[in-house]
Amino acid sequence: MDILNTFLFIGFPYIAIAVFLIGIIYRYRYSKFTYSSLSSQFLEGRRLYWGSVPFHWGILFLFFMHLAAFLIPDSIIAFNRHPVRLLVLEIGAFMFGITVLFGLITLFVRRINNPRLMPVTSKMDITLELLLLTQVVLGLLLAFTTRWGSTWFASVLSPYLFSIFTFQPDITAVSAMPLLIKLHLIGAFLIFTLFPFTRLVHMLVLPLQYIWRPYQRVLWNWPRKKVRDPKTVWTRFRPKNN
Amino acid sequence: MKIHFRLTTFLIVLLFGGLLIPTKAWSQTEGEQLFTRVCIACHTIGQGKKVGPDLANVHTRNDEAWIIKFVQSSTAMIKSGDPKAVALFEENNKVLMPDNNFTDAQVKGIVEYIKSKSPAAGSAPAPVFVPSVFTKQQETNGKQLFTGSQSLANGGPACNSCHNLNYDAIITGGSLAKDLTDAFPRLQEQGVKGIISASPFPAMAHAYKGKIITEDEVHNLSAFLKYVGESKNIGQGRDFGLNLLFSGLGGGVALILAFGMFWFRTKRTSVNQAIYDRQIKTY
Repeated sequence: MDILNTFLFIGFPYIAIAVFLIGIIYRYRYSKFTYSSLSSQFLEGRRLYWGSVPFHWGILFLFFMHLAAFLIPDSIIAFNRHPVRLLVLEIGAFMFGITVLFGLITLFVRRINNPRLMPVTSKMDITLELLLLTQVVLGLLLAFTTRWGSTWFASVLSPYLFSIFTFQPDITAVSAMPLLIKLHLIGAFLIFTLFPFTRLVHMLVLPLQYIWRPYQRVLWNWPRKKVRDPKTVWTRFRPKNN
Repeated sequence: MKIHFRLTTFLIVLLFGGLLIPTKAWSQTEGEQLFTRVCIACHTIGQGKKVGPDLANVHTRNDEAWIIKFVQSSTAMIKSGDPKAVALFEENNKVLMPDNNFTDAQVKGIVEYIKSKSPAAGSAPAPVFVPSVFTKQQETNGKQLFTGSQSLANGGPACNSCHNLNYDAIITGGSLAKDLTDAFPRLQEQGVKGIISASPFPAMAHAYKGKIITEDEVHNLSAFLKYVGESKNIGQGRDFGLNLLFSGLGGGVALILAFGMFWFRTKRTSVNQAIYDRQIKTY
Protein backbone atom coordinates (compact mmCIF):
# COMPACT_ATOMS: atom_id res chain seq x y z
CA MET A 1 0.00 0.00 0.00
CA ASP A 2 2.87 2.32 0.89
CA ILE A 3 4.57 1.70 -2.43
CA LEU A 4 1.30 2.27 -4.26
CA ASN A 5 0.70 5.56 -2.41
CA THR A 6 4.30 6.63 -3.05
CA PHE A 7 3.88 5.92 -6.74
CA LEU A 8 0.45 7.51 -7.10
CA PHE A 9 1.14 10.65 -5.08
CA ILE A 10 4.85 11.21 -5.69
CA GLY A 11 5.93 9.34 -8.80
CA PHE A 12 2.79 9.92 -10.84
CA PRO A 13 2.53 13.70 -10.26
CA TYR A 14 6.15 14.15 -11.34
CA ILE A 15 5.53 12.02 -14.42
CA ALA A 16 2.43 14.11 -15.14
CA ILE A 17 4.34 17.39 -14.78
CA ALA A 18 7.23 16.13 -16.94
CA VAL A 19 4.98 14.76 -19.68
CA PHE A 20 2.90 17.95 -19.57
CA LEU A 21 5.88 20.28 -19.90
CA ILE A 22 7.80 18.26 -22.48
CA GLY A 23 4.61 17.44 -24.37
CA ILE A 24 3.30 20.98 -24.77
CA ILE A 25 6.68 22.35 -25.85
CA TYR A 26 7.30 19.47 -28.25
CA ARG A 27 3.86 19.77 -29.82
CA TYR A 28 4.14 23.54 -30.14
CA ARG A 29 7.53 23.28 -31.79
CA TYR A 30 6.78 20.44 -34.15
CA SER A 31 3.08 20.80 -34.99
CA LYS A 32 2.10 24.29 -34.01
CA PHE A 33 -1.09 24.33 -36.06
CA THR A 34 -2.59 21.47 -34.08
CA TYR A 35 -2.79 23.80 -31.06
CA SER A 36 -6.51 24.24 -31.40
CA SER A 37 -9.83 23.28 -29.92
CA LEU A 38 -10.71 21.77 -33.33
CA SER A 39 -14.10 23.43 -33.33
CA SER A 40 -16.96 21.57 -34.98
CA GLN A 41 -19.33 24.53 -34.86
CA PHE A 42 -19.62 24.61 -38.67
CA LEU A 43 -20.90 21.05 -38.62
CA GLU A 44 -23.38 21.44 -35.78
CA GLY A 45 -24.08 24.58 -33.77
CA ARG A 46 -27.28 24.28 -31.79
CA ARG A 47 -26.42 21.46 -29.42
CA LEU A 48 -22.86 22.68 -29.27
CA TYR A 49 -24.12 25.91 -27.74
CA TRP A 50 -26.05 24.12 -24.97
CA GLY A 51 -23.07 21.90 -24.25
CA SER A 52 -20.13 24.18 -24.72
CA VAL A 53 -21.33 27.32 -22.92
CA PRO A 54 -22.44 25.70 -19.62
CA PHE A 55 -19.36 23.48 -19.70
CA HIS A 56 -16.89 26.30 -20.27
CA TRP A 57 -18.33 28.76 -17.74
CA GLY A 58 -18.53 26.00 -15.17
CA ILE A 59 -15.06 24.64 -15.73
CA LEU A 60 -13.53 28.13 -15.72
CA PHE A 61 -15.05 28.87 -12.32
CA LEU A 62 -14.06 25.49 -10.89
CA PHE A 63 -10.56 25.61 -12.34
CA PHE A 64 -9.83 29.04 -10.88
CA MET A 65 -11.35 28.12 -7.51
CA HIS A 66 -9.14 25.01 -7.31
CA LEU A 67 -6.18 27.16 -8.32
CA ALA A 68 -7.03 29.74 -5.64
CA ALA A 69 -7.32 27.07 -2.93
CA PHE A 70 -3.88 25.85 -3.99
CA LEU A 71 -2.15 29.23 -4.37
CA ILE A 72 -3.79 31.29 -1.60
CA PRO A 73 -5.01 28.68 0.90
CA ASP A 74 -4.90 31.03 3.89
CA SER A 75 -7.20 33.53 2.17
CA ILE A 76 -9.69 30.78 1.34
CA ILE A 77 -9.60 29.52 4.93
CA ALA A 78 -10.13 33.10 6.18
CA PHE A 79 -12.99 33.64 3.70
CA ASN A 80 -14.69 30.42 4.81
CA ARG A 81 -14.62 31.34 8.51
CA HIS A 82 -17.99 32.99 8.16
CA PRO A 83 -20.69 30.33 7.67
CA VAL A 84 -22.63 32.38 5.09
CA ARG A 85 -19.53 32.91 2.95
CA LEU A 86 -18.70 29.22 3.23
CA LEU A 87 -22.19 28.28 2.06
CA VAL A 88 -22.10 30.76 -0.83
CA LEU A 89 -18.78 29.34 -2.02
CA GLU A 90 -19.81 25.70 -1.63
CA ILE A 91 -23.24 26.08 -3.24
CA GLY A 92 -21.74 28.28 -6.00
CA ALA A 93 -19.12 25.64 -6.77
CA PHE A 94 -21.77 22.91 -6.75
CA MET A 95 -23.93 24.93 -9.17
CA PHE A 96 -21.07 25.31 -11.60
CA GLY A 97 -20.29 21.61 -11.14
CA ILE A 98 -23.84 20.85 -12.26
CA THR A 99 -23.46 23.06 -15.36
CA VAL A 100 -20.21 21.28 -16.20
CA LEU A 101 -21.91 17.90 -15.86
CA PHE A 102 -24.86 19.04 -17.99
CA GLY A 103 -22.53 20.52 -20.61
CA LEU A 104 -20.32 17.43 -20.79
CA ILE A 105 -23.28 15.06 -21.15
CA THR A 106 -24.79 17.27 -23.88
CA LEU A 107 -21.46 17.40 -25.71
CA PHE A 108 -20.96 13.66 -25.41
CA VAL A 109 -24.46 12.83 -26.69
CA ARG A 110 -23.92 15.31 -29.55
CA ARG A 111 -20.61 13.67 -30.48
CA ILE A 112 -21.82 10.12 -30.59
CA ASN A 113 -25.24 10.81 -32.12
CA ASN A 114 -24.32 13.05 -34.99
CA PRO A 115 -22.87 11.22 -38.02
CA ARG A 116 -21.39 14.46 -39.34
CA LEU A 117 -19.18 14.70 -36.27
CA MET A 118 -17.80 11.17 -36.39
CA PRO A 119 -15.07 11.90 -38.96
CA VAL A 120 -13.70 14.74 -36.81
CA THR A 121 -13.82 12.77 -33.54
CA SER A 122 -10.72 10.92 -32.42
CA LYS A 123 -10.36 8.16 -29.86
CA MET A 124 -8.50 10.60 -27.66
CA ASP A 125 -11.51 12.97 -27.73
CA ILE A 126 -13.76 10.22 -26.40
CA THR A 127 -11.17 9.20 -23.79
CA LEU A 128 -10.81 12.78 -22.59
CA GLU A 129 -14.57 13.32 -22.54
CA LEU A 130 -15.06 10.21 -20.38
CA LEU A 131 -12.17 11.20 -18.11
CA LEU A 132 -13.62 14.68 -17.58
CA LEU A 133 -17.05 13.19 -16.93
CA THR A 134 -15.61 10.83 -14.30
CA GLN A 135 -13.71 13.69 -12.74
CA VAL A 136 -16.73 15.97 -12.46
CA VAL A 137 -18.94 13.18 -11.08
CA LEU A 138 -16.25 12.43 -8.48
CA GLY A 139 -16.02 16.13 -7.64
CA LEU A 140 -19.77 16.46 -7.14
CA LEU A 141 -19.86 13.30 -5.03
CA LEU A 142 -17.01 14.67 -2.95
CA ALA A 143 -18.74 18.00 -2.41
CA PHE A 144 -21.88 16.18 -1.31
CA THR A 145 -20.39 13.42 0.85
CA THR A 146 -17.20 14.97 2.22
CA ARG A 147 -18.01 18.51 3.34
CA TRP A 148 -16.52 21.23 3.34
CA GLY A 149 -14.16 20.68 0.48
CA SER A 150 -13.15 24.27 -0.04
CA THR A 151 -11.59 24.44 3.44
CA TRP A 152 -10.05 21.01 3.73
CA PHE A 153 -8.57 21.33 0.25
CA ALA A 154 -6.89 24.55 1.31
CA SER A 155 -5.70 23.23 4.65
CA VAL A 156 -4.74 19.62 3.84
CA LEU A 157 -4.25 19.15 0.09
CA SER A 158 -2.68 22.50 -0.67
CA PRO A 159 0.38 21.78 1.57
CA TYR A 160 0.71 18.40 -0.17
CA LEU A 161 0.68 20.01 -3.64
CA PHE A 162 3.19 22.61 -2.45
CA SER A 163 5.41 19.81 -1.19
CA ILE A 164 5.36 18.34 -4.70
CA PHE A 165 6.28 21.62 -6.37
CA THR A 166 9.05 22.35 -3.86
CA PHE A 167 10.53 18.87 -4.42
CA GLN A 168 10.01 17.83 -0.79
CA PRO A 169 7.08 15.47 -1.28
CA ASP A 170 5.18 14.63 1.89
CA ILE A 171 2.28 12.22 1.47
CA THR A 172 1.42 11.43 5.09
CA ALA A 173 -1.80 13.45 4.98
CA VAL A 174 -2.90 12.52 1.47
CA SER A 175 -2.32 8.80 2.16
CA ALA A 176 -4.84 8.99 4.98
CA MET A 177 -7.52 10.66 2.83
CA PRO A 178 -10.74 8.84 1.80
CA LEU A 179 -10.75 6.89 -1.46
CA LEU A 180 -12.93 9.43 -3.34
CA ILE A 181 -10.43 12.22 -2.74
CA LYS A 182 -7.56 10.01 -3.85
CA LEU A 183 -9.41 9.08 -7.04
CA HIS A 184 -10.16 12.74 -7.77
CA LEU A 185 -6.47 13.59 -7.35
CA ILE A 186 -5.35 10.69 -9.55
CA GLY A 187 -7.88 11.82 -12.18
CA ALA A 188 -6.38 15.30 -12.09
CA PHE A 189 -2.85 13.96 -12.60
CA LEU A 190 -4.13 11.80 -15.45
CA ILE A 191 -5.65 14.84 -17.16
CA PHE A 192 -2.33 16.66 -16.86
CA THR A 193 -0.54 13.63 -18.34
CA LEU A 194 -2.90 13.47 -21.31
CA PHE A 195 -3.04 17.24 -21.75
CA PRO A 196 -0.46 17.58 -24.56
CA PHE A 197 -2.07 14.78 -26.57
CA THR A 198 -5.59 16.20 -26.52
CA ARG A 199 -7.49 19.25 -27.73
CA LEU A 200 -7.08 20.66 -24.20
CA VAL A 201 -3.98 22.45 -25.50
CA HIS A 202 -6.31 25.17 -26.76
CA MET A 203 -6.31 26.48 -23.17
CA LEU A 204 -2.73 27.58 -23.68
CA VAL A 205 -3.36 29.59 -26.84
CA LEU A 206 -6.28 31.66 -25.64
CA PRO A 207 -6.84 34.41 -28.23
CA LEU A 208 -6.60 37.14 -25.63
CA GLN A 209 -5.43 39.65 -28.24
CA TYR A 210 -9.00 39.58 -29.61
CA ILE A 211 -9.97 41.77 -26.67
CA TRP A 212 -7.85 44.72 -27.75
CA ARG A 213 -7.29 44.16 -31.46
CA PRO A 214 -8.91 46.71 -33.84
CA TYR A 215 -12.31 45.93 -35.33
CA GLN A 216 -12.26 43.91 -38.49
CA ARG A 217 -14.27 44.99 -41.47
CA VAL A 218 -15.93 42.03 -43.11
CA LEU A 219 -16.19 42.35 -46.90
CA TRP A 220 -17.95 40.12 -49.39
CA ASN A 221 -16.25 39.28 -52.56
CA TRP A 222 -19.47 38.87 -54.53
CA PRO A 223 -22.00 41.47 -55.71
CA ARG A 224 -24.55 42.13 -52.99
CA LYS A 225 -27.05 43.56 -55.44
CA LYS A 226 -27.23 40.30 -57.26
CA VAL A 227 -28.32 38.56 -54.11
CA ARG A 228 -31.16 41.03 -53.65
CA ASP A 229 -32.33 40.61 -57.22
CA PRO A 230 -35.91 39.24 -57.07
CA LYS A 231 -35.28 37.38 -60.26
CA THR A 232 -32.71 35.20 -58.60
CA VAL A 233 -34.04 31.85 -57.50
CA TRP A 234 -34.30 31.73 -53.70
CA THR A 235 -34.43 28.44 -51.97
CA ARG A 236 -35.34 29.60 -48.45
CA PHE A 237 -36.04 33.28 -47.95
CA ARG A 238 -37.35 35.93 -50.27
CA PRO A 239 -35.29 39.10 -49.94
CA LYS A 240 -37.11 41.60 -47.78
CA ASN A 241 -35.72 44.76 -49.36
CA ASN A 242 -37.10 44.34 -52.84
CA MET B 1 13.12 9.13 -34.02
CA LYS B 2 16.07 10.00 -31.81
CA ILE B 3 13.94 12.48 -29.91
CA HIS B 4 11.24 9.85 -29.40
CA PHE B 5 13.79 7.46 -28.00
CA ARG B 6 15.17 10.06 -25.61
CA LEU B 7 11.70 11.00 -24.44
CA THR B 8 10.79 7.38 -23.75
CA THR B 9 14.02 6.82 -21.80
CA PHE B 10 13.40 9.99 -19.80
CA LEU B 11 9.86 8.93 -18.94
CA ILE B 12 10.99 5.44 -17.87
CA VAL B 13 13.67 6.95 -15.62
CA LEU B 14 11.04 9.27 -14.14
CA LEU B 15 8.58 6.43 -13.64
CA PHE B 16 10.99 4.35 -11.59
CA GLY B 17 12.74 7.36 -10.10
CA GLY B 18 9.42 8.36 -8.53
CA LEU B 19 9.35 5.11 -6.58
CA LEU B 20 12.77 5.76 -5.12
CA ILE B 21 12.05 9.20 -3.69
CA PRO B 22 11.68 8.79 0.08
CA THR B 23 8.48 10.14 1.60
CA LYS B 24 10.25 11.76 4.53
CA ALA B 25 13.69 12.50 5.76
CA TRP B 26 14.15 10.01 8.58
CA SER B 27 17.81 10.80 9.06
CA GLN B 28 17.15 12.30 12.52
CA THR B 29 14.68 9.64 13.59
CA GLU B 30 14.71 9.07 17.29
CA GLY B 31 12.22 7.60 19.68
CA GLU B 32 11.90 10.92 21.44
CA GLN B 33 11.09 12.78 18.24
CA LEU B 34 8.40 10.28 17.30
CA PHE B 35 6.97 10.10 20.78
CA THR B 36 6.66 13.88 21.10
CA ARG B 37 5.24 14.23 17.60
CA VAL B 38 2.78 11.34 17.48
CA CYS B 39 2.22 9.41 20.72
CA ILE B 40 2.03 12.36 23.10
CA ALA B 41 -1.48 13.32 21.96
CA CYS B 42 -2.96 10.24 23.65
CA HIS B 43 -0.32 8.87 26.02
CA THR B 44 1.84 10.04 28.92
CA ILE B 45 4.86 8.49 30.60
CA GLY B 46 4.07 8.36 34.29
CA GLN B 47 1.54 11.20 34.22
CA GLY B 48 -1.58 9.04 34.16
CA LYS B 49 -4.12 8.00 31.56
CA LYS B 50 -5.04 10.28 28.64
CA VAL B 51 -6.97 8.84 25.66
CA GLY B 52 -4.85 5.71 25.90
CA PRO B 53 -3.07 4.16 28.88
CA ASP B 54 -0.05 5.60 30.70
CA LEU B 55 2.96 4.06 28.93
CA ALA B 56 5.38 4.13 31.88
CA ASN B 57 7.27 0.82 31.96
CA VAL B 58 5.24 -0.53 29.06
CA HIS B 59 8.18 -2.81 28.19
CA THR B 60 7.70 -4.75 31.44
CA ARG B 61 4.04 -5.43 30.71
CA ASN B 62 4.38 -6.64 27.10
CA ASP B 63 7.10 -8.22 25.04
CA GLU B 64 8.78 -6.19 22.31
CA ALA B 65 7.43 -8.16 19.33
CA TRP B 66 3.86 -7.68 20.57
CA ILE B 67 4.39 -3.94 21.11
CA ILE B 68 5.82 -3.52 17.60
CA LYS B 69 2.88 -5.34 16.04
CA PHE B 70 0.35 -3.42 18.12
CA VAL B 71 1.82 0.01 17.40
CA GLN B 72 1.98 -0.69 13.68
CA SER B 73 -1.61 -1.89 13.42
CA SER B 74 -3.68 -2.21 16.57
CA THR B 75 -6.80 -2.36 14.38
CA ALA B 76 -5.64 -5.58 12.70
CA MET B 77 -4.77 -7.15 16.06
CA ILE B 78 -8.15 -6.29 17.57
CA LYS B 79 -9.89 -7.66 14.50
CA SER B 80 -7.85 -10.87 14.69
CA GLY B 81 -9.08 -11.29 18.29
CA ASP B 82 -5.75 -10.98 20.12
CA PRO B 83 -6.98 -11.17 23.77
CA LYS B 84 -4.55 -8.53 25.11
CA ALA B 85 -5.36 -6.10 22.29
CA VAL B 86 -9.11 -6.58 22.70
CA ALA B 87 -8.82 -6.06 26.48
CA LEU B 88 -6.93 -2.77 25.95
CA PHE B 89 -9.54 -1.65 23.44
CA GLU B 90 -12.35 -2.36 25.94
CA GLU B 91 -10.50 -0.67 28.81
CA ASN B 92 -9.98 2.52 26.81
CA ASN B 93 -13.58 3.36 25.92
CA LYS B 94 -13.31 1.47 22.61
CA VAL B 95 -11.21 4.22 21.06
CA LEU B 96 -9.10 2.76 18.26
CA MET B 97 -5.46 3.78 18.06
CA PRO B 98 -4.74 4.89 14.46
CA ASP B 99 -2.34 2.60 12.57
CA ASN B 100 1.21 3.91 12.43
CA ASN B 101 3.54 3.70 9.51
CA PHE B 102 6.59 2.97 11.71
CA THR B 103 9.35 0.48 11.00
CA ASP B 104 10.31 -2.08 13.68
CA ALA B 105 13.42 -0.04 14.48
CA GLN B 106 11.38 3.12 14.97
CA VAL B 107 9.00 1.40 17.41
CA LYS B 108 12.00 0.00 19.27
CA GLY B 109 13.39 3.55 19.45
CA ILE B 110 10.12 4.80 20.96
CA VAL B 111 10.11 1.98 23.53
CA GLU B 112 13.72 2.84 24.43
CA TYR B 113 12.71 6.46 24.98
CA ILE B 114 9.74 5.43 27.15
CA LYS B 115 12.05 3.12 29.13
CA SER B 116 14.47 5.99 29.77
CA LYS B 117 11.68 8.30 30.94
CA SER B 118 9.72 5.80 33.02
CA PRO B 119 9.82 6.35 36.78
CA ALA B 120 11.66 3.65 38.72
CA ALA B 121 9.57 0.91 40.34
CA GLY B 122 8.33 1.96 43.75
CA SER B 123 8.43 5.67 43.04
CA ALA B 124 5.41 7.90 43.64
CA PRO B 125 2.25 6.93 41.71
CA ALA B 126 1.04 9.03 38.78
CA PRO B 127 -0.65 12.26 39.86
CA VAL B 128 -4.43 12.13 39.86
CA PHE B 129 -5.94 14.34 37.17
CA VAL B 130 -8.34 16.98 38.44
CA PRO B 131 -10.95 17.89 35.79
CA SER B 132 -11.36 21.60 34.98
CA VAL B 133 -14.47 23.55 35.86
CA PHE B 134 -15.45 25.40 32.70
CA THR B 135 -17.26 28.74 32.71
CA LYS B 136 -20.16 29.79 30.46
CA GLN B 137 -17.88 32.34 28.82
CA GLN B 138 -15.35 29.64 27.93
CA GLU B 139 -18.12 27.56 26.36
CA THR B 140 -19.24 30.52 24.25
CA ASN B 141 -15.67 31.28 23.18
CA GLY B 142 -15.20 27.64 22.31
CA LYS B 143 -18.35 27.69 20.18
CA GLN B 144 -17.11 30.72 18.27
CA LEU B 145 -13.74 29.08 17.69
CA PHE B 146 -15.42 25.86 16.57
CA THR B 147 -17.60 27.55 13.96
CA GLY B 148 -14.94 30.04 12.90
CA SER B 149 -16.80 33.23 13.82
CA GLN B 150 -13.78 33.81 16.07
CA SER B 151 -10.49 33.13 14.25
CA LEU B 152 -7.89 30.88 15.79
CA ALA B 153 -4.93 33.01 16.90
CA ASN B 154 -2.43 31.31 14.59
CA GLY B 155 -4.73 31.14 11.56
CA GLY B 156 -5.70 27.47 11.50
CA PRO B 157 -8.98 26.43 9.83
CA ALA B 158 -12.15 26.34 11.95
CA CYS B 159 -12.98 22.92 13.45
CA ASN B 160 -16.30 22.69 11.61
CA SER B 161 -14.52 22.63 8.24
CA CYS B 162 -14.03 18.90 8.81
CA HIS B 163 -16.02 17.99 11.95
CA ASN B 164 -19.75 17.97 12.55
CA LEU B 165 -21.72 18.39 15.77
CA ASN B 166 -25.35 17.44 16.22
CA TYR B 167 -26.18 20.86 17.55
CA ASP B 168 -28.98 23.00 16.12
CA ALA B 169 -27.45 26.36 17.03
CA ILE B 170 -24.53 26.10 14.60
CA ILE B 171 -24.04 25.45 10.90
CA THR B 172 -23.63 21.82 9.85
CA GLY B 173 -19.98 20.88 10.06
CA GLY B 174 -17.77 19.05 7.62
CA SER B 175 -17.89 15.32 7.06
CA LEU B 176 -14.25 14.63 6.21
CA ALA B 177 -13.39 13.78 9.82
CA LYS B 178 -15.21 12.26 12.78
CA ASP B 179 -18.43 13.69 14.24
CA LEU B 180 -17.45 15.18 17.61
CA THR B 181 -20.85 15.25 19.34
CA ASP B 182 -19.83 12.51 21.77
CA ALA B 183 -16.09 13.23 21.73
CA PHE B 184 -15.95 14.57 25.28
CA PRO B 185 -17.82 11.72 26.98
CA ARG B 186 -15.63 9.22 25.09
CA LEU B 187 -12.22 10.83 25.41
CA GLN B 188 -12.64 12.94 28.53
CA GLU B 189 -10.85 16.23 29.06
CA GLN B 190 -7.29 14.91 28.86
CA GLY B 191 -7.98 13.04 25.65
CA VAL B 192 -9.79 15.94 23.96
CA LYS B 193 -7.08 18.40 24.93
CA GLY B 194 -4.31 16.01 23.88
CA ILE B 195 -5.80 15.50 20.41
CA ILE B 196 -6.55 19.19 19.82
CA SER B 197 -3.11 20.36 20.86
CA ALA B 198 -1.05 17.66 19.09
CA SER B 199 -3.21 15.60 16.78
CA PRO B 200 -2.02 12.09 15.97
CA PHE B 201 -4.23 12.08 12.85
CA PRO B 202 -2.15 12.92 9.76
CA ALA B 203 -4.69 15.17 8.00
CA MET B 204 -5.32 17.26 11.12
CA ALA B 205 -1.62 17.40 11.96
CA HIS B 206 -0.97 18.79 8.47
CA ALA B 207 -3.79 21.30 8.61
CA TYR B 208 -2.40 22.83 11.80
CA LYS B 209 1.30 22.54 10.97
CA GLY B 210 2.82 25.90 11.89
CA LYS B 211 -0.62 27.09 13.07
CA ILE B 212 -0.57 25.80 16.63
CA ILE B 213 -3.80 26.06 18.60
CA THR B 214 -2.98 27.99 21.80
CA GLU B 215 -3.52 26.59 25.27
CA ASP B 216 -6.41 28.98 25.93
CA GLU B 217 -8.10 28.00 22.68
CA VAL B 218 -7.69 24.29 23.51
CA HIS B 219 -9.28 24.95 26.90
CA ASN B 220 -12.23 26.88 25.41
CA LEU B 221 -12.82 24.26 22.72
CA SER B 222 -12.82 21.55 25.37
CA ALA B 223 -15.37 23.56 27.36
CA PHE B 224 -17.64 23.76 24.30
CA LEU B 225 -17.23 20.06 23.44
CA LYS B 226 -18.05 19.17 27.04
CA TYR B 227 -21.22 21.27 26.86
CA VAL B 228 -22.26 19.63 23.57
CA GLY B 229 -21.37 16.13 24.78
CA GLU B 230 -23.24 16.41 28.05
CA SER B 231 -26.27 18.52 27.08
CA LYS B 232 -29.48 16.75 26.26
CA ASN B 233 -31.49 19.47 24.54
CA ILE B 234 -29.31 20.79 21.77
CA GLY B 235 -31.23 19.20 18.91
CA GLN B 236 -30.18 16.71 16.29
CA GLY B 237 -28.20 19.09 14.10
CA ARG B 238 -29.30 20.19 10.66
CA ASP B 239 -28.17 17.95 7.84
CA PHE B 240 -27.01 20.42 5.29
CA GLY B 241 -25.92 17.75 2.82
CA LEU B 242 -29.32 17.59 1.11
CA ASN B 243 -29.69 21.38 1.15
CA LEU B 244 -26.36 21.62 -0.65
CA LEU B 245 -27.51 19.06 -3.19
CA PHE B 246 -30.87 20.71 -3.94
CA SER B 247 -29.59 24.30 -3.85
CA GLY B 248 -26.75 23.30 -6.13
CA LEU B 249 -29.08 21.48 -8.54
CA GLY B 250 -31.56 24.37 -8.58
CA GLY B 251 -28.81 26.93 -9.02
CA GLY B 252 -27.22 24.87 -11.78
CA VAL B 253 -30.49 24.69 -13.72
CA ALA B 254 -30.99 28.46 -13.23
CA LEU B 255 -27.49 29.10 -14.57
CA ILE B 256 -28.11 26.96 -17.65
CA LEU B 257 -31.35 28.85 -18.33
CA ALA B 258 -29.51 32.14 -17.84
CA PHE B 259 -26.89 31.11 -20.39
CA GLY B 260 -29.73 30.43 -22.79
CA MET B 261 -31.41 33.78 -22.16
CA PHE B 262 -28.28 35.83 -22.59
CA TRP B 263 -26.57 34.20 -25.47
CA PHE B 264 -28.84 31.91 -27.37
CA ARG B 265 -29.92 34.43 -29.97
CA THR B 266 -26.53 36.00 -30.45
CA LYS B 267 -25.20 33.22 -32.61
CA ARG B 268 -28.15 33.16 -34.96
CA THR B 269 -27.77 36.53 -36.63
CA SER B 270 -25.09 37.15 -39.19
CA VAL B 271 -22.26 39.56 -38.59
CA ASN B 272 -23.57 41.97 -41.22
CA GLN B 273 -27.03 42.22 -39.68
CA ALA B 274 -26.43 45.84 -38.64
CA ILE B 275 -25.43 46.84 -42.18
CA TYR B 276 -28.43 45.00 -43.55
CA ASP B 277 -30.84 46.76 -41.16
CA ARG B 278 -29.34 50.13 -42.01
CA GLN B 279 -29.80 49.52 -45.70
CA ILE B 280 -33.47 48.71 -45.24
CA LYS B 281 -33.94 51.87 -43.21
CA THR B 282 -32.44 54.10 -45.92
CA TYR B 283 -34.04 52.35 -48.82
